[in-house]
Amino acid sequence: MSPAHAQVYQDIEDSYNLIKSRKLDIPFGGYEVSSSEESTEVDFDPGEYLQRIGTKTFPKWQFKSTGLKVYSSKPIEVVITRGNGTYFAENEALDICATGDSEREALEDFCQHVIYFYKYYKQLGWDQVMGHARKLKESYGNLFQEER
Amino acid sequence: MGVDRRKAMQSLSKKGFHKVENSHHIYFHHKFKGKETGVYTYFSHSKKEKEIGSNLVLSMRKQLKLDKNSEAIDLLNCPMDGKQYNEILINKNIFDPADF
Repeated sequence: MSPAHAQVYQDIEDSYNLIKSRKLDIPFGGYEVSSSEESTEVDFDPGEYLQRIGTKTFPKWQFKSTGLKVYSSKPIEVVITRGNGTYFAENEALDICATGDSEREALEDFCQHVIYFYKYYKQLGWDQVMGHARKLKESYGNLFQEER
Repeated sequence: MGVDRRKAMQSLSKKGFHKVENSHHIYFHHKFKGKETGVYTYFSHSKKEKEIGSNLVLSMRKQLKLDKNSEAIDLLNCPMDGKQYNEILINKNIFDPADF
């Protein structure tokens, strides 16, 4: 890498780290805070801003773990972000935020979480869940099925 | 500011979370009056890191449905008790205490 490229790379890294540190002070807008339709919550979601500069999405149809394969009935968007050397793989609907030292590790971690939560919510009865857990049990039950 | 990993696990256990270990991670699932609320967080089995760094605090904050890193640190460290945390989750409609 030439010195000029190294400088550009360093500048990008510095900018990214500055945004990251500022992001830590901004409340995250993942849940409803206002019933008004004019809320600007989404416009100021720092996660959205970071996604534009460092995010990829992958359709995932099949999740494998030891002894079990789970298929999704439709693609699962996995949002990849990076901050201070840690990679994050997230899906808001499934409420998964996986981490790793590389993109691949974060995706592998994501798959492990999918399998874990699929099994976890499957073994829970409807009378054992409430609120957000009820929605997650529905999501995992509707989206995934095991290989027969 | 980091959070002591062991202290965080002990703290969660005292605040309505139950621990489930699998081969990959140690999960903490939140319960209210015996029912799952869907709120969780997890730790890796790796004991290399004694402290939870700011990056992981960020992802834990999202899992724990909190708005600020400082709230997550308060929950993991101790100042925020289980009752205060339940009130936050109820105010965010994560669960309804009347849902029984």
